[in-house]
Amino acid sequence: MDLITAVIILAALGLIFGAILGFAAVKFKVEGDPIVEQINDVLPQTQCGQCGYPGCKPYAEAIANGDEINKCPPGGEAGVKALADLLGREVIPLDEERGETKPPTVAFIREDECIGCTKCIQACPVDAILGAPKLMHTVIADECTGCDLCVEPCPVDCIDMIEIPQTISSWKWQQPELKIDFKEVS
Amino acid sequence: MERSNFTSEIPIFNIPGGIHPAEHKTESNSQPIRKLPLAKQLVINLKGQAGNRSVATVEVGDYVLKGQVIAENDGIFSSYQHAPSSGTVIAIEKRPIAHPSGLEDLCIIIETDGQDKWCDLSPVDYKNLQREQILARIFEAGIVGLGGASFPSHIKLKREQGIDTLIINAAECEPYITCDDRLLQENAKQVLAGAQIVAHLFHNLNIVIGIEDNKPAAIEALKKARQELQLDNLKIAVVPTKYPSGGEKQLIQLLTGKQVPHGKLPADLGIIMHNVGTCFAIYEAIIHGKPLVERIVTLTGDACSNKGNYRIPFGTPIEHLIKATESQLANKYIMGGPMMGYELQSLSIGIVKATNCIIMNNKQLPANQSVLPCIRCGECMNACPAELLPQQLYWHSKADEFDKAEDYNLFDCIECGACAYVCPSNIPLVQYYRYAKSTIRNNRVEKIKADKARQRHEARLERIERVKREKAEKHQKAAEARRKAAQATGQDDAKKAAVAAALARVQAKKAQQEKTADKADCVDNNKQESS
Repeated sequence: MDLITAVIILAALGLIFGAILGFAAVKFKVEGDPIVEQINDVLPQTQCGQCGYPGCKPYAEAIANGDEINKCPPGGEAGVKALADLLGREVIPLDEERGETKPPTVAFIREDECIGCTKCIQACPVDAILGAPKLMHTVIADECTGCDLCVEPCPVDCIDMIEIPQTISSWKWQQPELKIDFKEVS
Repeated sequence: MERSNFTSEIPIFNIPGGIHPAEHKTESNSQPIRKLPLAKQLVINLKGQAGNRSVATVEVGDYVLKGQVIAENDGIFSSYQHAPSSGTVIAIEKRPIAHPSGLEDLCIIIETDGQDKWCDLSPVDYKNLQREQILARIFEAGIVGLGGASFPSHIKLKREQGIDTLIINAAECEPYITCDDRLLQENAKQVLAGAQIVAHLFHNLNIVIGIEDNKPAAIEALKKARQELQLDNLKIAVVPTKYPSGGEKQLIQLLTGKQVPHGKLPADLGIIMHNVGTCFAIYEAIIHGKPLVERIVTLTGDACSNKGNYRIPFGTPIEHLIKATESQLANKYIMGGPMMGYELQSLSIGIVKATNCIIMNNKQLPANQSVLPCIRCGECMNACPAELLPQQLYWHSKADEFDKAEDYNLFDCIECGACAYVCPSNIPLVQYYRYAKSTIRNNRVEKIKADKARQRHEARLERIERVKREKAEKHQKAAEARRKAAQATGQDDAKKAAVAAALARVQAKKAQQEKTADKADCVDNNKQESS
């Protein structure tokens, strides 16, 4: 008798908790893979494709599926470190084949040389180039991520990548250099 | 230094930490405030206040009178700038500015004509004005906090709700600086009149003036001025000399016992605080109609031959100050005090509204001694007036672990430098905190930019997809319309009917083929799946 009661109670508990879990699984269903979003948040969003994927999100998906974390030159060493922290992986040096970390740049169209072919407009991953067929194009500097993708398609080579000069608002303090005087220490 | 025996009129609370560095105030506070000959060129930095750059309203070649507006508020968060003397605008260009980076920024350069001729001034009787009108006057006079942060004063004064206490900050706790001390000794009455104007903007305001006990002459002057103005609601609070008791949050804690909570403003506690220099500027702007075009600057340091306080027009280059005080060239020029100031990287920069002191020094300051490893003595923790853990902040800032530094409330650090002062290993702690703070701020800006880039990229992908879909739909619709038109007109026109019939046959054939192909595919698929 005791045995049957125990089995019935346990079965009932199992059913109740099963129902709660089943309900929670439907009600609180997580859309998409949250780790991909987290990785994508760490990536610099230049959409430059230097990693070999057509944008930052596809690379984030690839990382989530096990690809290396050192393929993003714009993110630099700091980016690799942040990804390693997020994913609990080892910090590895940047993959040199993917290019090197350059200071931030912005594209500039030499407007009198532009022939209005719209090729750069089609190449720009963030719609930062303004223009129409046979009319001059120009770059919206604030929106440009400095990805370089517009330089190659230009048939007249009228796009320069200009380093963004440091201003008062973008300037930051440097970490003090460690000047330990070992003579004094010993 | 001499201490005042005046007993405070309100009870004084205590602040944690703090230090007692050598004061070096007697060198400069014994002489009356003097004037220097006018500089040939004035370099007025358009970003001379907290907030955004002002917008120039003059052009190269314009003749300007002293006090004339040369740059206005950018419409968001900025301030007015006025010509500090009469002369001609000879350039509006990038020049090195008063900033620790030593970078260049936009400046208006005025060649003075030596006449120092004022524009028309319009003094007003503020008692007949509305609150908004007085605020507008203060705004248009370009008044910013003269204690060092140069935060636009009209913004600070805007909030009326719940404000019950005005604290006038005369603590001047940083070594070397004596400009507020001297100003009170000579112009206490005007300062208090300025405080009265501020008090007029609010209802039943308690006025407290907080001053360190190392300024006995200034305290006497204040007492006298109070009697003359019959300001009975003003209390003089004398606090013991300790650095950094003049910090806004520190002085509030000393005088009220309340701490300004993390992320809150003094106004949330019902308190507004203004520096004595700011009160004087408000007095000048309202009573005499004079905009802010000059300030008192302490010139001191071992390389300065004529130490003292001077009324100096904004934009006066440092090199002019060196020449005019007949000083030798020094190793180091520091703008601000020895604790919170920064080294200037060029002598051509003009003084700004925040410049309270220039130290010309040949001797090395303590910060330049060689750095030894941290021995975890904890002295920094005892010295911190904000009750932070400077050592933890140091380790995390050094290791670029900014999120952890933030967890230890890095942004509550007021960068007073007390921790670095007591550090037996001479570690430049504040530099690490500044590095961490500025990197975190930059990272935030970059994150916003990255988010925008991501949104734009996603919007672009979506648009490309949509255009593709719309094109396909349009083609389909057009084809359908053609077929319908053919059917409608086909009965009238035999030829057309024949063509339509032919087309229909072809289409039917195609459809038939596709169907069979589809079927074949299906069969294939089924086969594959079943196998």
